[in-house]
Amino acid sequence: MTEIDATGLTCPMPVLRLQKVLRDTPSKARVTLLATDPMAKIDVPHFLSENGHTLLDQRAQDKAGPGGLDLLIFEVEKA
Amino acid sequence: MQLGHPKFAYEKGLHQIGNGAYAWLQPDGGWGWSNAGLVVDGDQSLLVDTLFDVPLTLDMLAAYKDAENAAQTINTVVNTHHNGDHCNGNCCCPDARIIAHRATAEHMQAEPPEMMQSFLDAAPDLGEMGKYFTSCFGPFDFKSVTQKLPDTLIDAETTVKVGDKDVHLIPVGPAHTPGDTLAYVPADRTVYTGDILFIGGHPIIWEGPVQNWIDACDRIIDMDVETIVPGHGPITTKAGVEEVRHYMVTMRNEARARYEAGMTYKEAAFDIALGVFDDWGDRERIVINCATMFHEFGAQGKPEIAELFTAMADYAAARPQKD
Ligand SMILES: [Zn+2]
Repeated sequence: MTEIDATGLTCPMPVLRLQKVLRDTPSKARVTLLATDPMAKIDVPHFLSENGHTLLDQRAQDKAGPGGLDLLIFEVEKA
Repeated sequence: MQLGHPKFAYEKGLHQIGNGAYAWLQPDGGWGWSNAGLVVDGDQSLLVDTLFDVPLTLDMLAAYKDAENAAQTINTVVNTHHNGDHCNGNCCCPDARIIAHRATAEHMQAEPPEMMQSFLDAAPDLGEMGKYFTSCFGPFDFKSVTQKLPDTLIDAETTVKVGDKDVHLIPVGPAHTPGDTLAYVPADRTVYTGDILFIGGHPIIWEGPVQNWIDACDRIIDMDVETIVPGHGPITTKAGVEEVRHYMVTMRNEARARYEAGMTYKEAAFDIALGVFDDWGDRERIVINCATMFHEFGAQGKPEIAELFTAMADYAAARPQKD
């Protein structure tokens, strides 16, 4: 399973990284995206929905990211 | 400039247009405060749009039932486009056939009410942008909504019957959204325009191209109508349509000059003097409008939604609107 580490990056970088990886990912394959910018809670679901991909799960781990930021974990399935 | 129709006050609730046509208005017409319509003939009824949540839609339906027996059971709902403030209440009409443009149905599915709710849930962590987002969408009860998608899709101009009355569904998008559709009722000399018209507020150009929007305005101006019900704002006349057309032409010129001068869309939005449109509500939408137009002019990609709302929050804070 592919994991994209976009921690420490501000939006829209997490979505751009995800988009790039999904381009080369086979249909139905799963990708995990890690991010710390809270704006990703809006950008990632919106981007996935607009492009027909599935957000299988979204969760946060308190202060588990670099610099003590909350770690956001998005599990994605490519359309 | 007064753009409302002189015959109709801009007050919340039901307005009788006559001959079995009605409008439901929600001042001040800002984010989510949409208008809708009812058309009846004989024992048949058709809604043009539902509202942003279930309580708002149920209030509206109760008023419709008071006004018309034919509205006891709604037979048909037309959604003018996919934004939730025009379709989230579809679930309040369990017996109705729901008609919309194919693109409207597709985008409805991509932007479910649960997503709006999840954004509101995230908003407290999102600083000024979160506050701005909550000020726009916090008043609505998205948890009440069960999405009901259209079951009858149109791809081109289509006429549906309400009793003996014709309702022409006229796709004019992509402009505000991909599936924009006008509902024209010749027998009532009335057109319900959805968000092709924002009266007294800045239109939001989510989609473009702007030329489609200008063409849609021309299409309305060419209709034999007396009463024009916009998606937001007071009931209007063709003078209101001319103003929206004027906005589109003006802003496209202003934005293009700044695109060609090498500005970013955000710089352009802050730089454009709003002139005669300065007293229209929700001025910060110029930010989205510049982003969409820059994309139309050839800019790479479109900004993500968080960036747009952050930039709008910046604009709204920098240029607070006078009441
Ligand atoms: Zn609307």
